[in-house]
Amino acid sequence: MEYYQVLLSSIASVFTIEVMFWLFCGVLVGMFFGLMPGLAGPQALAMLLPLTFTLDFTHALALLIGIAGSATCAGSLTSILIGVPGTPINAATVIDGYPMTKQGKAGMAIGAACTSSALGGIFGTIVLLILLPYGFNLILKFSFPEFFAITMLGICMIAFVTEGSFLKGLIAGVAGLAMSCIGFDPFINYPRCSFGISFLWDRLDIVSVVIGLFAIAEAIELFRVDKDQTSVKANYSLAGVFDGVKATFKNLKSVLIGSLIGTGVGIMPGVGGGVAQFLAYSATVSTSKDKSKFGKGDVRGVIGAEASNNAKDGGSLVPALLFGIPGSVDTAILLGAFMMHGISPGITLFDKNPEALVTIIWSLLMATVASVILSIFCAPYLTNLLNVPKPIIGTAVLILAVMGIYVATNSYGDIILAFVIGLVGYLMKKNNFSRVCLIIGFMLGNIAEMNLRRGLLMFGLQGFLLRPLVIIIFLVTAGLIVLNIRARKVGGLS
Amino acid sequence: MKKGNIISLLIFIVFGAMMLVSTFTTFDKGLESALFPLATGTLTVVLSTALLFKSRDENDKSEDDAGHAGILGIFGLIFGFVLAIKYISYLIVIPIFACCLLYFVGKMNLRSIAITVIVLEVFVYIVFYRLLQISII
Repeated sequence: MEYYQVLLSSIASVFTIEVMFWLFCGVLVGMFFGLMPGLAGPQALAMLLPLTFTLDFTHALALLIGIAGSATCAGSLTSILIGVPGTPINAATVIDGYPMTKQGKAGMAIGAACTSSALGGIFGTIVLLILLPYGFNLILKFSFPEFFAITMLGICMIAFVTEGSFLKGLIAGVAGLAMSCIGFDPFINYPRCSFGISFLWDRLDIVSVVIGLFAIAEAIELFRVDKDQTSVKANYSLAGVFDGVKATFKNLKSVLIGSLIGTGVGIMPGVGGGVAQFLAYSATVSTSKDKSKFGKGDVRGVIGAEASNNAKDGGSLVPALLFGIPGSVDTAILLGAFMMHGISPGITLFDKNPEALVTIIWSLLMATVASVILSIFCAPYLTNLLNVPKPIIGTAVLILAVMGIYVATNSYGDIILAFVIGLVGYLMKKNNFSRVCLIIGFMLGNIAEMNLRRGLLMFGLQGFLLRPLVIIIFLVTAGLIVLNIRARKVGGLS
Repeated sequence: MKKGNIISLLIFIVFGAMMLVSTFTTFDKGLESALFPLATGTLTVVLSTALLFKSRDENDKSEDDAGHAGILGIFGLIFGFVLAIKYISYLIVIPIFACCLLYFVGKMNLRSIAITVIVLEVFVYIVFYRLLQISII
């Protein structure tokens, strides 16, 4: 009860004109990035992260959550209208969304996508609201060995659920862990692994790493796209859109399936929407009596996939806010904003910055609803943005990335670092090494090491072998490892 | 195996090896300090080397981008851009960089380049110099 009282008393600090303004800016930016194939929410977050350094923390959160909550919905427009996913996590929407456009039902598909996105987003936010107080009570029982065990669970998860080669994901994750060791040792205040470069004593800056991996690497890729961009024109009616809204409410089972899967997958660290969308789509197909129209323009395929996309946003915030473990790239960058403003996730967030929690929850809700409304009414105009040549966008992203780093760090060295990491990020992208694993490993490495060393100091090795919660978490980790190995072997055999 | 894959793995191996070598200087400060970087550096080297040997016999016919001329051009321009901003004002370097990138790599026409450069320059000036009061001149 105290949790809800604190949240309610902090609402007044959230509903201000400034917060609404920055939230709206975030929604617009998120929709632009979500609409453009090749760009997505993480790139927008990476680029704007340094600018949030100059903002008040609640304004920064509103901006970032606005981006995170709106990019996916806008991405569905591109998936439906031109058959190209606006963001990677809108890929499943193409399967039934684009055939619906070809059948003249684009409006219905857009209406269904937007409505199910809104409902899924609301579901995910409600789950976040409900789970947080139980999570806060749980983490009061956690000490350093338990937090170390949780970070190990997170690190193992990201390697096992990465798309593509498991070994490549593991290499990227471990390299990220190694990168987190560069700089002053937090306990003995002695520089280590800085390769004789004094600039690196102060650890690798999260802004530079994020911008390098996600903004710069993607910007380079934009120069390599096909020059023959065909002109896109959205052609649909609002009447069709309301048919889609009605269809969504007639198929609430698909919405629920997608929302449950999206939220559950979002909670698991490192998994992300890429897995959730196809799981939700598969589950929607499996649980339907009439499967004949799936893949040929069945609105239920759009509904299930889109509901999961937005539901995962709320789910991925659960481990991030409770344990500081990012559930997705978006939340990894959000945690970077926390670090920039000197705020720690966990129980201290609730005690000292309850308005931050309220801002996150309400911003997520409002960003979802705002992006849905904008998508429905502005899609014909927004899709004109698809005709902007990709090299222009790439140039703008590169320049704004540099400016952003300079704003955040005021350091020339960090600009060089970001570009070096950007080049490595580009190579990783082209050769299927997971950048998500690297960034999550980088963010978790410091947490894991701090908790390991503090745990050893306080409890000795016994603390990691005999404490009940630690044993449970390690058993869960081991169980998931075994399940994943067996699943991969079965997948390989089939 | 694709050349890009080999280059990526070599980068990881070199990085891991550098981490290993640099941890030797921290041993005199205590094993606890060296433990984590030693473990992660070792794992990076071992896993990358294992994948390198595992994949060397694979016949991968997919597109190989490692030597693409366009990418090298972008890298070169970025390198020049990063060097130039250290010594010259951002407001001078940005339009030159944007022009070169769009003309030589993006193959855009002059009208589009001019519009883009003007919009970018005005945006950077207003947002960063005026609104955020960042010193970029």
